[in-house]
Amino acid sequence: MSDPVLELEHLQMHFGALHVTRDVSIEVRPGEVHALIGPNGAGKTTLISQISGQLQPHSGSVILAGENITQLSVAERARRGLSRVFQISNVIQSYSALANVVLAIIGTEDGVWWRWRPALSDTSLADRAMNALAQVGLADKAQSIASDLSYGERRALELAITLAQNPRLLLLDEPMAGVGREESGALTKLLASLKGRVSMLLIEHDMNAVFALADRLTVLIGGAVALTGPPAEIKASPLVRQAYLGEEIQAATGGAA
Amino acid sequence: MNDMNRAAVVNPALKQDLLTGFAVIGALFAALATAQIAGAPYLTSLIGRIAITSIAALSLSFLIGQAGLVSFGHAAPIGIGAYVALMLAAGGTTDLSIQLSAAFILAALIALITGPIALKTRGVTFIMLTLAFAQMFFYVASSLVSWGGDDGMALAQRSTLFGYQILRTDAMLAAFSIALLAVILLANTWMAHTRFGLVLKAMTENERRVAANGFEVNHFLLYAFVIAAGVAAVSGVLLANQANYVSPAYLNWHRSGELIVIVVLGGVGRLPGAVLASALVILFEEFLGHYTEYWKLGLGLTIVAIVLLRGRDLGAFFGVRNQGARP
Repeated sequence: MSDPVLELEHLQMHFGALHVTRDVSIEVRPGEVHALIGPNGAGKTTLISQISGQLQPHSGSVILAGENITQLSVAERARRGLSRVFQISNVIQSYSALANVVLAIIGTEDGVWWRWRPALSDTSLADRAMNALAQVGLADKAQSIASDLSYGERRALELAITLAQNPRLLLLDEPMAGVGREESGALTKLLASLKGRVSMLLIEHDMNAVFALADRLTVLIGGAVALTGPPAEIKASPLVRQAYLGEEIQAATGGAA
Repeated sequence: MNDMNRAAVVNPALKQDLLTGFAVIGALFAALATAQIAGAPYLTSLIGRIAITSIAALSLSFLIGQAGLVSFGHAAPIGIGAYVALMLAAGGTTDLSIQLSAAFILAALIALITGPIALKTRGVTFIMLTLAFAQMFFYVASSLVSWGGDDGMALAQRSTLFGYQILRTDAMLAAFSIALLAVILLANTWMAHTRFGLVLKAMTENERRVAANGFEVNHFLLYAFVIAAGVAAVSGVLLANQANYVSPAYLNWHRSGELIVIVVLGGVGRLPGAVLASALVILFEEFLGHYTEYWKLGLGLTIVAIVLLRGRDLGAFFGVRNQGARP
């Protein structure tokens, strides 16, 4: 098997006396969708923030495609192919969908300091941006101002933003949060269509989405890894059932269990 | 599909912003010509002041509107520019190519030192830090005893350009100032639409998103801070020539505040609006100032009236569009 895209090695983090990340080691393999689940307060978002660089672990390392990026800034990590979709929708509201994606593409290339031609008249940028928008089904909304888009469309736009950067790894922090039932199904389908092409680390409370998408899951309880394995193994684990999944698993597996 | 994309991407906003800029510059030149023909030297000098203040206001409008940084110390680089002109002229170096470059570079270098400190913060703390730095330079200027101390000092002679006394009369000074304003206004308008402008403007709304896109937010903000300081210093060189005098008063925090008022009045981020607002404030000071020392009351009431009238600002009042990358 090829080398993992992302390796977390013995990450530790405290907020004061609160031990929020306890010796976490996780691997994300190329092309896999790795879901991170756990009850509220298990430290999922804190962990994602340590991967993307908003937070610094107190010890341990974050390794992206063989390179230790633990000490790098958010921007440096992003330029190395780590793209984050935030828990709360996070786009430039006053920009058009197209401009949002163009902005993301500019972030991946050199020349922001010295290219003097108007960015939005640059057809090569625009073509690439349209390509990313088309992948998420937003091609006909390219000129819409982001604040005019529906919440689900804005989540899709965020996905286009990250896709346009040709990420090595997508960090998805509750992409379904706040999205309606109908749009959530569409978003799941969209993510499924990207499966195999992009490696993803997914945090999600919507168990239907998680079990539809994930190749492997890691269960985080009290800041520590309780279990890692394929969906069937996770569903079968009595420990996980007891600690966290319970009712939700039954719902996701059709209530028959 | 490709053709449709291309058509959709063409950017008429830049064209319109440039045209508005040209119109404002044209109006200033027309006013100057009228003043000359009518033989009104007083008006000529007023127009020169408007152009010089506009340059300073533009650099602050850029900083506030396009970089989202409210500096309350913008008088500092202006004063630094004025003192550079004073000192170089005293030493016999009157050429503008040297004076302007030296002023730009010195103010930019100082901003390169103060900027990273101030940029560790945002909001009110940033405002207070820029004010504190500017006050430091105010006191430094006041303590330059050999340059007049508190009282300041007369400029030894007006600046020249390649041996020509290009600022010999007030009309020439005004014309040169408007020309320089034109270059700065158009360059700034264009910049707002480049990759750099697009990134900078996005930061004013959502730094986290922009950082996640791979941009070092503070590098961009520092760059904007440094450029704004350099441009403000350019206006300082002209100001020294206009008044034939340089004093610490140029670095007074009142001046910084007045510039913020002008920027807000013109509409934050509306570059031609900053020029219109500079004109309005200077005309108020001159004409209302003749009748009453309480002219600022009149100015204040006018600001309130304009803001209420249009719910926004002077730029909007005259139909000037908000600039920058909002495709």
